[in-house]
Amino acid sequence: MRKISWSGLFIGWILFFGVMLLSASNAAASECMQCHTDKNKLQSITKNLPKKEKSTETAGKG
Amino acid sequence: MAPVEPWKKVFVNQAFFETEHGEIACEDCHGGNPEAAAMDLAHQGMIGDPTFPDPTDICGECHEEITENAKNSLHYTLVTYRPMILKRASKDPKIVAKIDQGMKDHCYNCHSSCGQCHVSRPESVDGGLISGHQFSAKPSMTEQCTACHGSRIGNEYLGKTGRGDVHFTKKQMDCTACHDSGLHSDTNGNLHNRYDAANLPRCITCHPLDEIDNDIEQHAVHGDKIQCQVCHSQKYANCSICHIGKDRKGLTYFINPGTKMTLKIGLNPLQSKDRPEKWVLLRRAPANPGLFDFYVEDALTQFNAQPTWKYTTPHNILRKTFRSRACNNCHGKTQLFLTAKDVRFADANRAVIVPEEMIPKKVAEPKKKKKRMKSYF
Repeated sequence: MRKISWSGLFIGWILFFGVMLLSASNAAASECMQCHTDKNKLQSITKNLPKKEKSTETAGKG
Repeated sequence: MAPVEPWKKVFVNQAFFETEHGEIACEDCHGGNPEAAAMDLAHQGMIGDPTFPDPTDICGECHEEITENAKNSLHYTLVTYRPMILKRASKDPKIVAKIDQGMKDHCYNCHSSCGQCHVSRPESVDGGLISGHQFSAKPSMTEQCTACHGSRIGNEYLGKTGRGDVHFTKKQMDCTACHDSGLHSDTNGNLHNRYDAANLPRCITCHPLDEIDNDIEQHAVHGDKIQCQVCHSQKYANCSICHIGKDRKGLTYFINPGTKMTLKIGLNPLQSKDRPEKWVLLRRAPANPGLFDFYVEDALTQFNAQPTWKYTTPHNILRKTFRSRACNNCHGKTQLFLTAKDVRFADANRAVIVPEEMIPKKVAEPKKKKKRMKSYF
């Protein structure tokens, strides 16, 4: 019968939890969040974006 | 409604990451390139609302049954629009194709989606996250429901026109109190009239006819011959003639020359086992023969095939109204009924117009019971 490698098992568990932690914090760690959670940054970006144009001929309620 | 500030539309707050949806990587739902630091590159291939047109892939991973139904629901498909328009339209396929183009440009922007009811404002009011990307199982009445259903239903219900609906003003009920999650499965994608949808709320669900106050003579006399709203609603907004088109820049526009607050009782065009009432309220829809003139002239050659005054269920209910106070506040009141002289398209409205001879005649008012004076001796 094969002998259990306790050190291998320990390293395996460490790796497993590491991967779990990484995937759980994936959303927060992405580049998307650098901007989308920063109010000031978004304000400075959006003030220079072109506004969506709408027809001035629309009249009355929809 | 005032638009959401541009930065706020895409702002994700920290609280979102504490929720279950916050554990999912952004790109798993929205695509794009999460490794890129430059804005243009990061947003390449990104989808703002990944829940439309098919929510089964993204939302369906956890909410399988709801999304399977929701993708066919009225909110997703607006499935009744086309058959209703085509009933009035020419049968020429070339003309139908032009009508389809007009509807694509103007009508189908009003659809909703999982995201537009549970996380952001609807796209028809320019969207925008309403709570830092946090999802809410219950849609917000003012940010989501009345963002679309606002100029008539929302204004009536909240009292912006009239005195408001007693379910809101007295009981603070929001839309979901009656329009519950059954609307996810209101149709299997094949429906000709929205009032035929499944799971529609009915007054009698909470106020069953056999349980409502038997002392009220009007209930005993009228039973299910009169729609509840005929007595219990206030005046409501009616449209007139809507025109659609595109301006010089190619931007779509509509012109709706004004609404009129009125209340008209007519004959039930949808009389059925489920809706047995003979007398119902009717609302003027904005249909007119020249609706699609910008796209193709003479498109609605069968215009009179459908009434322009439609079955309606105003959301401005009061327990006591002028009409409910006395029999002759309705009986003999010709001006309350939709007659030929009230309508512009008489042929279209034959089925709902009340002939003069059908208008209920005045009746002898029942004698009022004298109140017994309380004796203090």
